[in-house]
Amino acid sequence: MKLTTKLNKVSLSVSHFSVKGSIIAIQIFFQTLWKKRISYLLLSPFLVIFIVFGLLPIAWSARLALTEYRGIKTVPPKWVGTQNFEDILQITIRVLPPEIDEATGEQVYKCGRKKMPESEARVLMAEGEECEARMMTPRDVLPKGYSEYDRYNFRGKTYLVGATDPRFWRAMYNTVRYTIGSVILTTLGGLFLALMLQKQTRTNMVLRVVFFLPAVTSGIAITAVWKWIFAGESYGLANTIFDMVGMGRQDFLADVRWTMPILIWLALWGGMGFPMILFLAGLKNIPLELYEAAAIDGASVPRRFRHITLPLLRPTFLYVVIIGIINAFQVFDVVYVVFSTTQNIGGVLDSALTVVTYLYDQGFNELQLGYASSIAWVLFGVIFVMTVLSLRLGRVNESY
Amino acid sequence: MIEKNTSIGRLLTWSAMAPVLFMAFLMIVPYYWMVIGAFKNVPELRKVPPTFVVENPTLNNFYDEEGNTPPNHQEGLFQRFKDTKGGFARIYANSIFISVSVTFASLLIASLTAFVLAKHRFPGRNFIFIMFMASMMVPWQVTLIPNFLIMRDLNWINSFRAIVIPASAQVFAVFFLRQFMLSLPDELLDAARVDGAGELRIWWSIILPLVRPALTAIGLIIFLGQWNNLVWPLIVLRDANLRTIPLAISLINQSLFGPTTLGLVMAAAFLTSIPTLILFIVFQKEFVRGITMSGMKG
Amino acid sequence: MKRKIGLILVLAIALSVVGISPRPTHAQGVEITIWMTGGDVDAQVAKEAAAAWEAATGNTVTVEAIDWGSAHARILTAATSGEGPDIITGGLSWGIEFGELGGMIDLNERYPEDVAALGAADNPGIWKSIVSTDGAVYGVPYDLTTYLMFSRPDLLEGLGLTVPQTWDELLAAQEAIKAANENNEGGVAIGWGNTDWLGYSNFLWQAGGDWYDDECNVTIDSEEAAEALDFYASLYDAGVPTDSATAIEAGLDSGLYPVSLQGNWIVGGLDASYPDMVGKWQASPLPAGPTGSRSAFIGGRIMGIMSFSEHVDEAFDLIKYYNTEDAAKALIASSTAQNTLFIPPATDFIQYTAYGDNIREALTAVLEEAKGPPNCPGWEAATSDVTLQIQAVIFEGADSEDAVAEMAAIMEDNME
Repeated sequence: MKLTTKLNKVSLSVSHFSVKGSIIAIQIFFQTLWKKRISYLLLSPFLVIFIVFGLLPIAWSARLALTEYRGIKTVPPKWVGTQNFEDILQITIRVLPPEIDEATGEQVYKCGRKKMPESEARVLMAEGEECEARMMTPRDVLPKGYSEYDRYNFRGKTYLVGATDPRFWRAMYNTVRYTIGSVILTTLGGLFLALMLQKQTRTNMVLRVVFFLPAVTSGIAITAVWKWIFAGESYGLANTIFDMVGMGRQDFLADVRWTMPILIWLALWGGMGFPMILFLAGLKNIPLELYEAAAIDGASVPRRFRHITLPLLRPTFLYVVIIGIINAFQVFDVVYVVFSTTQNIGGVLDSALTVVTYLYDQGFNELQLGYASSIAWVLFGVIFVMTVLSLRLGRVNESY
Repeated sequence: MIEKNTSIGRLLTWSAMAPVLFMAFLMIVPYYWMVIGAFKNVPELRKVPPTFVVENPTLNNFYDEEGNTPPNHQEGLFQRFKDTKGGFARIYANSIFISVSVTFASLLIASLTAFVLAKHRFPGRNFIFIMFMASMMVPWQVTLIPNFLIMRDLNWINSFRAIVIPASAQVFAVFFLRQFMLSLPDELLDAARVDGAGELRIWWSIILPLVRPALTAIGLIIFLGQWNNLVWPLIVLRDANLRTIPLAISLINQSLFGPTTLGLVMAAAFLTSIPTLILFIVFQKEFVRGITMSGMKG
Repeated sequence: MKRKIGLILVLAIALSVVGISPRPTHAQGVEITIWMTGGDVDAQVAKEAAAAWEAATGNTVTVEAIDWGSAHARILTAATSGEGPDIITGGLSWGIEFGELGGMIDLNERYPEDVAALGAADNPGIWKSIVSTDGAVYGVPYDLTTYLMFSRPDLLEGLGLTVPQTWDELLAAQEAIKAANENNEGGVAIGWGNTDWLGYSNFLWQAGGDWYDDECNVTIDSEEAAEALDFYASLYDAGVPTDSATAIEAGLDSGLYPVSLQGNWIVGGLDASYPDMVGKWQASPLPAGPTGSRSAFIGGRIMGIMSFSEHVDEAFDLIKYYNTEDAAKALIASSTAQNTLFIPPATDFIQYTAYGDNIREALTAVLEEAKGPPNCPGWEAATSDVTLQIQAVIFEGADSEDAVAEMAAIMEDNME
């Protein structure tokens, strides 16, 4: 970093000497490269593997993202330009008008299986029958190729959000929710644990091990145990306990309300240990004298925490949050093991569908590899922006 | 936060300890459930409500001498996988071999790379860094097919190379180790350079010993990642003799709630967690020492 | 010296890794490789049953188990790279999916007489679902699974009920069992395809509706389909659990769910898991819909040949062998030894299935009217969105007529 700025300065100052100056600048540039050859040499083992098995496939998938590719040898990828991205991202908002009965001009109501104008329905409703006001079918309102993503009522009007790929938006919505929930909770949870367990006592040592345990032993096998624990009826441990304390049984794995809490709980379970370790290390790095000085100045414990601990832990925070964001946006295993069934990869009503499970479904079940690659690149864009934003928000010095 | 002399502070600590202990309890619940599951017999496993302690402990999930007499007996874990020479033991050995190789190879390469990135200044450093970071943002699922085609062209299908070599470049590990190495004082390296030590020597005999705790931590995580890796080994290792544990589990686990396989899955899960558990307990001291001695710089 | 150590170590590890690559041993004759989607037991069963064919032909059969979850991905890599097994097994629709893209061999084109003979012998419901709309057959059935109603007549009798024979009785049983339970729980449980298109198909067909007609025109936007969906949702409203992981067997044993609609695969483990229940449970066809139909969904596996196979004739000979009477008996025997119920696709071989007369009779009755998944273009791609519509009715109380209309639109969109 410092060196490059130095170089810039050099090239700036010599640029007054026109051509000769540029030649000198280039010379200096190559001289530095040569001087630093040992650095490049030492980097080369990693770089070679990284380029061949990391960057090359990534570049390949970037090209695939612009094609329609079904993954069978006999059907080569077909160039479609940005079509996949358009299909993924296009979204539109329309007003959803009520369905009008042609004869009477009134809104259509549906009572049981019968449709009727509002006035007739009111009569039936007065008799206690349940009737529902009908809106027009979303398909009639939305442009071709769009279908309903969601609808909102606002000031007496119903607004319809249509998308060319509503499942993608559902997946993105779930993923963002999951990311926000899991990153905040695992970071705070890790910090809390680190603060609680920072004293070197025997109990604390044991507890540290316990909290770090899932981070190093979790995996498909133990995630499957969670699935068993959350199984329906009292076959599962969770329901047995719910039963004992009289909270009633839950369909944990087939109830939209439970999906996100369970996903986030599993993220907490497996994800708190790592930040805890990092925060413990960060806390150790804070010189004791700082606290002592503050204590002498009469600063209270919360004040000391706010003005000494938190600022000095900022780099660790940043690291934990960024790694957390990058990982949470790509959540896959947990959804796949706990919620996916052969018929439906995203659980009930797609409530557990995340972007990566969706792209896996598109790529490997529907054989739309080009489309799946495009989804991955959209996700990449989102993660990239989020990471840059976090860096900006939390940047302290030259380090990342 | 360090010294709490007031009684209010002490009270706060203790009331805050309660949720910590409760959380700690929740952390180990699945392990307990898995361990007792591995030693329950089939009818007990399927009992509603479930039993909290094993009533009739059995080893039949691992090996059942009367395994060939259905319906009340079935073959245990070590009697399954007849298409793999050596059965589950072989599968276990495969997993250990792969995970150990990947861990050592990637620790060596990653620590070297992290050392250069943390302690050398050279043009392109930031660019390399950004590339590393960006590559972590692309889901691996999307590079599965391209990577597979590369393996085919290299003729690495059905060979452990296809797993060990790509996995030895772990960006995450570089990231982590670099963070630790940043906090090492430069003077130490300069002194060594004055004494005429080469960069490799500095890496090997100065840096590595100093970041050993960090190596242990990230090594455990790499090991675990490989130990649990399902899809990639499944795609590139087609020969039944090369199977790894996660694949074996998913084969028995065709229906977790299906007929009688739950005990086998729990037995396999139990055996699967043992090595990571042992590693963790063995290195735990190292770990704690690492936290107390060296630290991390942002 | 020490600086070398690092390098040497790196080199040593690199070399040791490169050095390890197992060499497969080649036997005499042709080696046919099968990728068996399922568990290790399924592979073992297929391997054991192939012994007679190996002895007769001098060829060898290698059966490699691949799990359901990643089978599709793994077959895809074979199709993409042009390297892999000769034969794959997989879901009923997989032949059409991979075949229409050119990944598999059209057996009907290559062996029309043999394929016609297999088609005549197999269950008509399952056969229809594996034939492409243009008549191509990329994979022939290897086994099948279907729905059975499992019940505990003894427990039902205690409640003054009998085993439900109609929709009305099914719903009544749900309500009565739940009302009699002290916690107001339990009743009827649905296992396979719970709350998705697959579970709904049973009711759809029993009501007289269907997804498509014989010409693959979408017919789901119908009165019958809406009625079936309403009834399906009413079961959940009455307390049928939506959790697909419900322990059906445990519920049968404890009496919480003395009636359940579930895939036949639980038969194999029931007696082993619940020794106290032996002789007390029975299997029967699903309750009849308003049309009197007791139709049910058939799943199963196909066996097809990858287009890059170098031993197509031998591979097809093996597939034909698996459809012979001897092979069916061998497959059943090996499966039974592993606590698994194997059902051959050929109607005449149902009589050899294990686990007693009750199972055999129930299966025979169910299979008379049972159907497989639609074979129409775009169906596979539509299933996720169709399921969302069904779940919107079940969980969110959406209108069933709107839902079937939307399903029809989705299915038509996907046909293109």
